[in-house]
Parts: sequence; structure tokens; C-alpha cells
Amino acid sequence: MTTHPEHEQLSAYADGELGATERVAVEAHLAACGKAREMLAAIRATLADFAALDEVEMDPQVGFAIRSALARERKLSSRTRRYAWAGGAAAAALVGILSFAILGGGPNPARDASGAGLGGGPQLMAMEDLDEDSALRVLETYVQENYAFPGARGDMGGDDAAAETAVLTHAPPAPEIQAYSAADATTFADCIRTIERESDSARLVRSIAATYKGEPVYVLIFEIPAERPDRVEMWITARDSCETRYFSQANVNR
Amino acid sequence: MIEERTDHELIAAHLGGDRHAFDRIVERYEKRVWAVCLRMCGDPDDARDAAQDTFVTAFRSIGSFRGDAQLSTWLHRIAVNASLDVLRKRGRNKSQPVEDVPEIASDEAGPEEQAVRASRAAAVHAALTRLSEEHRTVIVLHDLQGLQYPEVAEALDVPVGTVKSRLHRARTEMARLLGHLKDDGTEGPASPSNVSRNRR
Repeated sequence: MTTHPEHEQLSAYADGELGATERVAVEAHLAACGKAREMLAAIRATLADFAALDEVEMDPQVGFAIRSALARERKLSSRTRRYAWAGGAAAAALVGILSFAILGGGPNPARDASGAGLGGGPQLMAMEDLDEDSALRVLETYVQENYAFPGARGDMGGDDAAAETAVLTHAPPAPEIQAYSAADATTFADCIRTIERESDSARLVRSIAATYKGEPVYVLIFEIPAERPDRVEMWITARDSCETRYFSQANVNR
Repeated sequence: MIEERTDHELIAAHLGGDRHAFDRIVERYEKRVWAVCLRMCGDPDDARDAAQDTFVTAFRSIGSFRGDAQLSTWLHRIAVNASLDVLRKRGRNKSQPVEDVPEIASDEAGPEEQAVRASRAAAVHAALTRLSEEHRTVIVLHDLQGLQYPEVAEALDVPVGTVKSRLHRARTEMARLLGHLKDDGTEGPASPSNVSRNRR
């Protein structure tokens, strides 16, 4: 072989992508051409450097960001459909069905320290301004209150995988609902309805009026017994716009 | 719960109104999409935005997804475009000065192996940011993400021959940036194997 192989043939050769005839021709050329050997060595050294790259780790916050973006997208498309159908009449009807506990004014929506009506757990969270970590604890609290873990709590060392999945021990409680004010109720019902519309069996089981990073929000916990019995979802939506600020989910068994 | 449905079954379920089918697709591909975005963008914040945009775009347009294509290839294509869009918006899609590419240390350091590996990785990342969009894309898809030539061709909507030639040019450029190749096309002095020989 007296001519240089096409340059990309050296890369394809390094990848093992050449057919038998081309491979023999390239090898014959390599045997006779120092420059081609140097090029091949450089390509292989470069590929060896690529191999030194570790597998990319994904920060869990990226997953949250993706799901939050999708939740917003779903709401937008859901709203588009809803406005095309029937306007807000059904939402107004829903307000009549839901029983709201109307809170006093002011930015801190938490009830008194007894937590009456809040199920004895999340009220602690509602009294503080939530962030990602404390929001997750609200969800964990709900799961701990309503589900049992396969092993005794505090003895989770034997089977981590099993211990991480909660098992329902009783029917979820009736929805406990808070709203900031009566005037807020329509917006709030609209929010709930928007989320529930995305899943026929979605059922609101806990609602907390709170603040998230300083913004008034609703923390909404849903169960989806028919479609996703293995999941409890938590949506944090802005009080005024109903836009999703945070989304998370917990894996459970029934 | 392990999702056993195929990609195409999940897509059909999503289009049929199963709200959670798309969540399964996200769970299945988010790490790969993230890896593409991070390697294309080079910056975690940009990559997060690109990964979000990737799945939102996929959500909006999955109805037009062709049944004979691979979902993974389609998502790679969207992720590349989303990454390039983010970079253009940020005005960051410019080559860095060559001196920003760290030199690669010897791989014969024994106990310093991890440091050497980190040094190599930093050099590769820095060199990647200096490549043109076209070259960075083929390196990321083929050499880093492991797509085959026909898959890269499908993702970029170009012939396989174009992928081969782009890939070779991209690798040659990377080899120069990493010091494995001199500008005259001969093997460079900074090759790890050369350094190792010099130290013996």
C-alpha cells in the first residue's frame, strides 16, 4: 500500500469499525508509514484520556428541576384544554364541595402549636419558611404518619431497600385543607383541580398553607391509588399563580 | 417498582393518556440526558437548564416521534440541540484560549493515580470547550456517550460518512489540544506514553 488511507479510516480502524478488506489495507499501510502510526497512536491516546472520565453523577436537584419543569408544562397544557372546554364554572362548583379551614391574615399561615387539623406532623413545617429540605420532610412526615415500614423503625440496617419503601397500614385520612383566606379559595380549588385533572384517581390528602422561600404557597399531597399506588406526590404551588415551585414523590406499597 | 414496558409501549401509553408513562421515560433517560448536557455545556447550571428543556421539548413533541426510531437517539438529538441553544443564549459557546487546557500528568504516579485521572479529566473537559459545536457534538455522542456511528448519524441527521469524517477531525483536534499530536501531524511530546517513557 503506497498511499495514505483516508484519515477517517484511522479513526474507524481504532474503533474496530472497518470491514476486513479495509482493515487489511490500513494495517499494510501502518506497517510502512511512520506518520500514520503516529496519527493512530495520538488517536488512541486521546481515546484513553476519554476513558479516564468518570461516569457523570446527577445531582438530585437536577431531577427535581426536570420534574418541576414538566409539571409546569403539564399545567400549561392542562389549562389550555380547560379554557377551551368550560371556563371556570366547574372550579366554582368545586369550592362548594371542599371544606376549607380559613386561616387568619398575615404571611405566616400556620395554625396554633397544637396543630389541630393538620394531622400532628406537618404543622411543624408549616410554621417555618420551607426550602427543599424541609419540604421533603413534610412529605416524609406524611408517609410516616400513614404508612408503616417493613422493619421496625430504627432497625433499618438489615434490608435498606425494603426499609425505604413504606407500606400502607390504614386508609389515608380525609383531606385536611387550609386556605389563606376565603378569597383565596377559588384559586386554591383551581390549583387542586388542575393537578387532579391530570390523573383520574388523584386524591388530595393533605394541604398546608405555608411559605416556600418566602413566597406564600400551598403544599399539596396527593395519592393516586388507581394509577400509581406505589407513589405519594407532593406539589408546592404558588398561592397566587398556582405555578409549581417544587415537586417530589415518595415510594410506598399498598 | 421496576418498569418493564419498552420505550415504545411507554410512548403509546403516554399518548393514550397514561399520565405516569412519561415519568417513566424521564426516570429511564434523565441520567443519560444529563450527561450529554453537562458534557456539551461544560457548566452544571447550563446543563440543568438544557436537561429541563430537553424533556419539556420531548413532552411537547413526542406525538411526532417516529415509531421506527430509537427513543434514546431521539432524546440525544434533543439534548444536543437544547445544550447548543442554552450556550448560544448565554453567549458561552466560544472557544477558550488554548492555555486554559491543563497539561496531562503522567499515569505512572502509583498512589497519585487518582490525581492523574482527575488531571486527565480536567484536560479533556477544557479541550472539549475549545472544539467547534460540530466536533464537540460528535465526540460527546460517540466517544463519551457510546452511540454507534449510525445512531450518531440519525441523531444529527447526517450520513454515516459525515459522522466518520467529523469524528476523525474532532479527535485530531482533541489530540492536538491534549498534546498527543503536534501541529505538523506527528505524535506530540505530551502524550502520556511519551511522558512515561521519558521518566523511566
